[in-house]
Amino acid sequence: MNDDRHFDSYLNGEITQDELPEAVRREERELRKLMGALHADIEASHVLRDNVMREIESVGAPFWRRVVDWCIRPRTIRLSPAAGGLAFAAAAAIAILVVGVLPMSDTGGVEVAADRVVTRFVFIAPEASAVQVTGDFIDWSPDGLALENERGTGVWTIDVPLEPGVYQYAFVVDGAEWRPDPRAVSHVDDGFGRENSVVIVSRERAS
Amino acid sequence: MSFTRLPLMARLPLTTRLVLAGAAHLVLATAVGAQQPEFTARVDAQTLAVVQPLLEDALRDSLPVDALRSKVLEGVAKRVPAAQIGRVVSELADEFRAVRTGLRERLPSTVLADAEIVAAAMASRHGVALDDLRAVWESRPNGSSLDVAVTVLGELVRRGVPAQEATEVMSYLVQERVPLSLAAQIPGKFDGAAGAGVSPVAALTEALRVLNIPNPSGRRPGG
Repeated sequence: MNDDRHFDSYLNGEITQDELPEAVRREERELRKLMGALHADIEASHVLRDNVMREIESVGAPFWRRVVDWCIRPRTIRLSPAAGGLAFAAAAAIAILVVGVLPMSDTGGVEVAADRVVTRFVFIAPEASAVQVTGDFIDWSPDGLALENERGTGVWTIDVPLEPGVYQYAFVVDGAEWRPDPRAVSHVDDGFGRENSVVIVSRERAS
Repeated sequence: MSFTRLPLMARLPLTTRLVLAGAAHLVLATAVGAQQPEFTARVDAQTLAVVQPLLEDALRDSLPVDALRSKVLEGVAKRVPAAQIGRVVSELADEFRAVRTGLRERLPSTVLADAEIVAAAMASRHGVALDDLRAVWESRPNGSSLDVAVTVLGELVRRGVPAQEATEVMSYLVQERVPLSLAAQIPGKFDGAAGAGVSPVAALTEALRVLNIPNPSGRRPGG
């Protein structure tokens, strides 16, 4: 019986390991060692494992899910400095374009920050030659904000972008006379012997 | 009293304490002026001497200092004498302090924004009780600002709506997150209805109807 036949008989269980010739027995021990090594657990890296699992999950998944998976999967991007610079410049140009094109608020051409609400102040004074509005929204600036006399009708108006909140204000007629707004929603005693008007500015202003 | 039970400041030598106190005063004074550089430029020296200690106290007590500064600037713009500005600012600070203390006692875990303290002080001036203010705060479902709602509450009470009725309406609006744009229109619509000679409660009911806001007191039609 040659070595191969001895080995076949051993594998078929016809003879025991001890009955194998010494050379075959040594070979069998080597093979067993090798098989043991092959059966040992292989510790895969978590990245490999995650990627494999993601691929498995993606198979048969809806199209949108595969698109989302593709988008959120981390990737290594190789970029030359030149290409990187170009990409950055393009992104900056797009950002500038978007900021320049999108109006922050529709205010008839006047740029207004998105968190502000354009509030119209109206004061009727046909006899006045100048009307200003001042209030806590401009720290009671003595110069105030000048109202415009619409077509000389004596209806003085100004649009002021204000953050939502509650403000006190007053009109100054001809640079000297402090007058409350008769159209204001409320008036409060200013403590100095006069009255301030109150305006409530809300973000979703509907009036 | 054992030495270890003394407060930290008391354990320090007198000179160190004086230096620390001076430094604290300097920091407060700097904070009062530095937060708004144009403030000191616009206020004359006499007025500044009167209001500076008041503003420092307000800053120390975490009161709405910007609102007090604004009142100073208003007085200066209206050419009011320094002493009168000082008196008005002092009274306003006391109002803020009272409202803040009262609300803190009733709502210990609530952080009050400056604008809310100012609005609450104005509402309190119009006759809204601290317990009614607490009811509005307690109805708030999230951290949204209540300055507009509290201002409207004060306006309704000032116009003769019973505080309980007004509080119930405003608490409902806050709880149901009715847009502030609608809440802000209530006083104006109220005035329109009240001009027709109806009672304050009926005017409020009409204002809510016009604005299509459900009336939480609907069980009492017309008041």
